[in-house]
Amino acid sequence: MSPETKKPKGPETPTSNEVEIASRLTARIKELEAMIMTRGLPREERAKLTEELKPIKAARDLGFDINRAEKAVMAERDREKRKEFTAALKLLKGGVPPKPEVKLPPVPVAAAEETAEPIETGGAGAAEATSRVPEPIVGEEELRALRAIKGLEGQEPGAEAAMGEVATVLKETTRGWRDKMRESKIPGAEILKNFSTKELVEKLGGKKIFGRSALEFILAAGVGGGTRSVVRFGLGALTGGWGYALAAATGAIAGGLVEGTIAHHKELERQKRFKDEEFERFLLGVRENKKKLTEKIDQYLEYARSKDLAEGLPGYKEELRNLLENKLARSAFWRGAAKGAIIGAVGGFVGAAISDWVGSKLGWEIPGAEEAAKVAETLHNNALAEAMAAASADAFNKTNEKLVRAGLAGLDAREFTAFTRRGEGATNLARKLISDYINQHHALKDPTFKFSKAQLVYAEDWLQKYAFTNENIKPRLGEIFKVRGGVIRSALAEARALSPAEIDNINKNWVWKIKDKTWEKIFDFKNVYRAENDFATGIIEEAKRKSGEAARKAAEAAGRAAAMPPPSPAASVAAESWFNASVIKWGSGVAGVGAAVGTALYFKEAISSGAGRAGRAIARGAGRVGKDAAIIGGEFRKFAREIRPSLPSFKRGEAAEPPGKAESEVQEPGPVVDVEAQRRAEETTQRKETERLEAQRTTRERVEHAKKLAADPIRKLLQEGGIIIVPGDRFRYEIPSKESIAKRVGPSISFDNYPDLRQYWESLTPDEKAIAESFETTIGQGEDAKKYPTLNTFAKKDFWDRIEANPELNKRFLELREKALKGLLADEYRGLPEKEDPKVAIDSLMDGLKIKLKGTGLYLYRGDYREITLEEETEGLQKLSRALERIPGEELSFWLIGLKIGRKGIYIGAGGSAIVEIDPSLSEDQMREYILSARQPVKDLRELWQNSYSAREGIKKATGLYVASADHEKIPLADEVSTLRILQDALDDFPIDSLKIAGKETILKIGAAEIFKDARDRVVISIRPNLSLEDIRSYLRMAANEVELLRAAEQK
Amino acid sequence: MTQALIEALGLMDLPPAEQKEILEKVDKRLEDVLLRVVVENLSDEEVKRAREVLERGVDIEDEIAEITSGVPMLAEKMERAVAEEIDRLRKVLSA
Repeated sequence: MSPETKKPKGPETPTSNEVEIASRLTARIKELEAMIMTRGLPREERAKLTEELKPIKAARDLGFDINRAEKAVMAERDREKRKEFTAALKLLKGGVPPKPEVKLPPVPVAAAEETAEPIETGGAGAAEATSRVPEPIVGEEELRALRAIKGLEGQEPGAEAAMGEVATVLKETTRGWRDKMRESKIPGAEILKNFSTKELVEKLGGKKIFGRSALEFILAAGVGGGTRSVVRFGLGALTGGWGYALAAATGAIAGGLVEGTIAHHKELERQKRFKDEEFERFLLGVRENKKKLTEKIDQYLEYARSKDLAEGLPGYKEELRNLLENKLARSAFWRGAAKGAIIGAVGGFVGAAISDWVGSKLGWEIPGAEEAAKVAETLHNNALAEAMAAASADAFNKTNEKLVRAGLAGLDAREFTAFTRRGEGATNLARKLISDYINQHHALKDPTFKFSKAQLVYAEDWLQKYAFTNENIKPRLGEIFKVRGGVIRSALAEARALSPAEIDNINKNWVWKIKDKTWEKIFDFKNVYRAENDFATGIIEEAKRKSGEAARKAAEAAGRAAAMPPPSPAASVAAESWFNASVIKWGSGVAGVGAAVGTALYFKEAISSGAGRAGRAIARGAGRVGKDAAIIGGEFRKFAREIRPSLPSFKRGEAAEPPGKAESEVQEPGPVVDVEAQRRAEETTQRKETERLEAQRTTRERVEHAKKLAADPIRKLLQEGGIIIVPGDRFRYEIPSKESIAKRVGPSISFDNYPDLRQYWESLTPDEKAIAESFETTIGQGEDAKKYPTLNTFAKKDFWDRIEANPELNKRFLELREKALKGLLADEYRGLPEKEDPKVAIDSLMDGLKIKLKGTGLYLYRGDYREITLEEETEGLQKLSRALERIPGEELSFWLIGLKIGRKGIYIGAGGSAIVEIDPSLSEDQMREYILSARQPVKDLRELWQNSYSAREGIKKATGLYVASADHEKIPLADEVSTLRILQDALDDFPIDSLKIAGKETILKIGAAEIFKDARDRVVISIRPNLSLEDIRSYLRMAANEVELLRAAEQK
Repeated sequence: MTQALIEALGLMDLPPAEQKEILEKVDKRLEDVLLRVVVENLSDEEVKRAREVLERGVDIEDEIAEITSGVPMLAEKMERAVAEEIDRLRKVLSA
């Protein structure tokens, strides 16, 4: 065997030196713990010992593994903790520290032995604290991408900048989609249903984010799994309610800031179940043996099992795992979750292949997509052109009018000129000046500039006297005179001011003296006497030029507005529905991951982690993603319900409107049509048509049809399972009634939908179920009658075995499965709203609101039905929905809290999440104000809760006892915190072991004063709040006596 | 999914029967990994609730989903765990 292929030692085999150090440190832990627990030990000495114990226990927690300790030192962001890890590393490298000089009082031997047990027996809490890291998970590829981004700019781009780029790309990609929906005459929902998301993906593929392909960035190499959900869950929503995509991206990027993400990655590395080097050693062994692939797999599975066993779950968790495996793993729900996770993982692993995978999923056949897109595009273009033309014309006219008006006003400042010809005097000069002045007003479209003969005669006289006679100016031939427009205006104004008597006088004495020919010339305002007096042409040209510019800008603005108008409420509803439908189209595979077993991040974790500033920053960002995922998870759990397009209303056939009307549209949605009702009506029509065709069949046709159906293996199986197929491929379920079960004989009852059947089934006791399963159902009549085992809701025991055992049957089954599934699901969920079940109505409303809350950091809780009626909650949710629309997103995203309709109040829930409970009777405005005003109390409560958490953790670490959270609804947080602090002091010099029973966990809790064993057989010591130090000490002594009794009972 | 898994594990050239055998084992293993991830990440309180749900036997799926929806980034953790497992499986098979 060559040195290179030399078989490595087993992955779990530490060196003798490592073993020795581990052994010595373990002994030292016991030694120190015993010393700490010694009765009568001075407080200072105990503190010294506790300090020494910390790094040794940290080393133990790290498996006495130098590599892990090194990684922990590198990854830990909390200074104190890092110090602890550094000391632990030093110990692992250098062995056991010298014993401190601690003077111990004499200790009875029995007590010392008893305290020699490891203290932290539970360990689950600590494991929890480390395993629950609420940040997005990234792989090496993402990390490389993040580092690359950092490198591009020379510095971290920051969440805002990153968001900006993502947002820009997404906006450009979806440009005009909402407009299609809004402007088109096709019902919006139809357009949305038919749009090709493949097109969207292609568009996205051409964009760049930080110099990378946007699609690639978002899919795999961007900023973690959170962003990938943009594609998985958000693309559909980009057409309108783009909040989903942005929310996901925001969360991922904000949470995935380079520093935090890398730190988190290191933390994950630390937590890896199989250390790389161990696995590599195992791989060497596999390579050496050159086995068949199936044998290799077996060898690996054996290795993996041994690893799992070695690092096994605590007993109670292992027990739960087994239970889950037995009861859940076979369910469709779990299968969907597992499938989703596996698909996601495979996608991530294969890397670029995920693009193809998602692309192919998004490109699923969508009937009429291309045609609908074309129609929509045409409509969109026409509407856009019209909108731009209207905006342009409007801008032109307004600008022109404004400029001309300014030009007219400017005429008074201009100098009008005139000169005399032979035989002309001052009156002729005045007439020419007045004529040109009036001409300019007419050219500039001043409709008010009209004068009578008498007025003009008077104006001429006034002007010649004012300008010439009074000034003793005698015009000379050819001499040019200049008069300001304002003077001419004054002459005309004086003429307008003439009284009727004066007008009559002028008419009688002067007007008639002027020849008609002269009057014709006077009233000819078309031409100016002097070209220099033509100011209007310049004004008009300038106005046209400037108006054109204004029109162009207006058209551009109109185009922009038309391309990305604000979403109308109806459009948002339609988009949400489309999104829901898309989730279904993508199937359990895509939705499964998010949905699966749910993926929420509760705010409690962000608080409880107490991981310092960076940790909290990460948690905040991840929280948004988590919340999204939680909502998506919730949606998936109800995904069958969502197969029913939930379109409560949508504007129908609305004509294209100019962009200026968009705002009013948002405010006044106008008449709506109930699409859901339409769909139900269509279904009813279809069913009736099926029944009519059935009725029209001849007897022979019916017989043939019945034979065909009878030969159908799936139908046969379903029938044997008690599922009755009625016309229209609908199902009916037969199952023995409770009375029949009790008598062990009797008729069946029938359900026409699955939920009722399931509810009924689950209402049966296990014994009743067993009896029900033993029932037989008779199918057919007379001689043809056959008995079959009655339906088990999850199908007969051998149902699936029989299908899988028969290839032909299996093939047929696969072909029909989708159809059958759709039928069952449609049956299950479509019927529900018709029953007007208020709970279902609330569900639907909650779902809608949850979608709206995506990305806001808010979680929606169910109301307390004991406190409020369903109707009140419905009304409250509706108002809340509207109120939230009026609160800026950034305001909401700060919160990371839960909202609930119920009693008015703000409190911390059992898990540490702040909950703002809203009185349903509040108005929409009041709700808005209430939510905004809740910010400070929420902040204060969070701080209190965090104090409470750290106090509990402090006691837990110091004593090894588990400290449970108090019931915050009954005990004010402040009281809990102060009591915990006193308790901490009381426990300092208390013999902790007297509160323990070997092999059992002891739980400390602030609450009602009681000592008992809980359901899991743990000792619970509940302490009343606000007790003094002495009182708590007395109570603990009493508790120790109680525990002693329990211990004695145990020993018996 | 099966095809993706076959490609991810490099089983394309194997006879269908052998592919099937390996995939069944892989499937079982991945499920096992997922269950461990779920259980590992449940708090004591959630474990207690889950046990109660399983004992009660009503609405198991919904209840478990609700409980696990409180686990931060569980789906991501699941996906990550599976990705790592597939990576190891691929390495083993190509070793």
